[in-house]
Amino acid sequence: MISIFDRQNDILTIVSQLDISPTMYKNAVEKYKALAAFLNDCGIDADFYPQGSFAIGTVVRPCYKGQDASYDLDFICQLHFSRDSVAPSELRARIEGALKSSDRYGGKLTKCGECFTIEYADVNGVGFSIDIVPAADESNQKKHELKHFSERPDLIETAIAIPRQDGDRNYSWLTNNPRGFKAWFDEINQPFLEHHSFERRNKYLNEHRTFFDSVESIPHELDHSAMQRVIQLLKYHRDHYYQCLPRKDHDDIKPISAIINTLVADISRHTAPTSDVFSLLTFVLNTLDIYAKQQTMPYDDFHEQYKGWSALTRGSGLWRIQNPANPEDNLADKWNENPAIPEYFFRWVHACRTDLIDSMQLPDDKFRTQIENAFGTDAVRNCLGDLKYGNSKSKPINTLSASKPYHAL
Amino acid sequence: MIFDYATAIEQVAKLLTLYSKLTIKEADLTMIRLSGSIVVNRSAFNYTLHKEYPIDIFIPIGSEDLPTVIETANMIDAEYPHRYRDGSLCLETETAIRMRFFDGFNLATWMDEFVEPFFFSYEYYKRFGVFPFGERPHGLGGILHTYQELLHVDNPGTAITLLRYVADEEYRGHQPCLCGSGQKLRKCHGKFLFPLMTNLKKKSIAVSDLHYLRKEISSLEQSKRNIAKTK
Repeated sequence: MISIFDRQNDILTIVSQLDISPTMYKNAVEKYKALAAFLNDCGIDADFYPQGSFAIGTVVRPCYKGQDASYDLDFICQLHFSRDSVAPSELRARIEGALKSSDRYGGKLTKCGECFTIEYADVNGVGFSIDIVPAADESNQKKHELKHFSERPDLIETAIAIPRQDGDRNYSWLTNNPRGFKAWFDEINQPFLEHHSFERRNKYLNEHRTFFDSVESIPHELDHSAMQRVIQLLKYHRDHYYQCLPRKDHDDIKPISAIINTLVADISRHTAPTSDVFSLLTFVLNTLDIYAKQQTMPYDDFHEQYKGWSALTRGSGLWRIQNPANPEDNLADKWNENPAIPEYFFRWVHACRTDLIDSMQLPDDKFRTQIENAFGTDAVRNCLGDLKYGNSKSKPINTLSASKPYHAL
Repeated sequence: MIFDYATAIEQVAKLLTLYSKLTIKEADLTMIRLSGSIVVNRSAFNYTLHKEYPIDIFIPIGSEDLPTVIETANMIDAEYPHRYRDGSLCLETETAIRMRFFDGFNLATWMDEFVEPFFFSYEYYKRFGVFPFGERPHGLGGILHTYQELLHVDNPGTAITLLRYVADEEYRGHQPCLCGSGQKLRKCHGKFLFPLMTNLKKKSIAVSDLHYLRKEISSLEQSKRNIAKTK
């Protein structure tokens, strides 16, 4: 039997295939810096910074209908004034006007409720787009309110207001705090990042000698702690699981990345930062299994038994995953509108355990089947070839005439 | 009779070459019991099941009963609805299995088309919360559902009407179809009825199921009337 160590390494290799490559990273940075410079030239005095997975180093190449889809990176374009001094429509119009005036960006622009998307030409066959989210500084009064309700008032200062277009002439402000989230995330990630930092960065350097000449020259966005790797593993597994889910609404019920980021980071606070990827993954999945009890257990009983377990709660029957940097943001809002979302979330957590943890005990050929279930046959084949762990071909079931289970009375 | 002794022994011998971890545990003139485990390695809908299940198989001899299979290691959840209390698996309706083997039972095909897909359905359901190939309703509903599928009708009532026609009438393709479409039978449901009416073995399965359904439905109606009276 191939060792657990080798198996875990193989899984990590498969996942690292979906990392943003140094070329892609360099390309993204160039593109967003050019955009920032362009907006600046248009007289827009703004901070231009990444949010989401690009900001916290958990980018996974997305998948759409079984095909690799384009990288979709989010950037905040935060103007240097408070939302009090501008109408949301005006702020949007300023950014839109500037982008449309450009020969370079005007033709590539599409609008959505909160952002403008610029589609770039493929780089080495990989599609790439940038979402620009216009924003202003959140008002002092609003920040004051947020601080009052927040468990981490120190994170609130960076809150922003995003103009949202709900209809043709309908605009509103949406509060968010990506910098606050990143600060919270980085604070938890830091000790994980420091653990085995030199060895990890050295390994990366050896694999990418053509791009970097020293450990120091590797951008921190390309270095992944065990905690960031766990997030990438889960995101990749999620993408494949939900894509295989035989429901038309599989994209709508898929857990958003912000939920995975928040839960993994929150749970990781309670374990040693010296954990390796798979110990941490096991710890995270074990903890989520405990949270899953709330599907059937009354909240008071859960709260009594698991005091202080607050990352994922169901008080008054309502699911809640608090955005740590924005007390107004319940990341599980949609869970309360559609019960299929939590139901499938916990099914998916169970599948992660089966595929990534329990599979370590299986004979080689069955292990291979399990990771193919986890990540798709092609992804595994591209990385490990056809033969590793044996090659036991499964026999397809004729889906049109397959038997259906029954129960006589 | 599904198996005489000689056929059963012959088919068991073949089965044991396909499933090397099964052995004959008991055998007499009325029953053969196989015991051991099977490795199921089957795929559908981007999912592969590759797992070993300890099972016992009971093969009745000189009887009309179908073989049964029991999963012996409690790998199937107790609350899974398609398993009987004694641990035997509800593979399919007897109708579907008997129709499949109207021309003679084959143990190896039964394993391939019913037993292995049963485990596949179970694991797929556990993972995705959906039955990959669907499931039958319990009890009478499941038998009716099998005929609805065989006869391509949506409504259980229409399935019974068509079954009555199979049991009581001669096939006349030019008459109006019994589904009420207004088309001639041969251009409508005739193509599904015809095999049931012309193949005597299939017809006898359908007729015997119809008798059973009639009996069960009338006893159900009787018990409803009794309840109404006591009220």
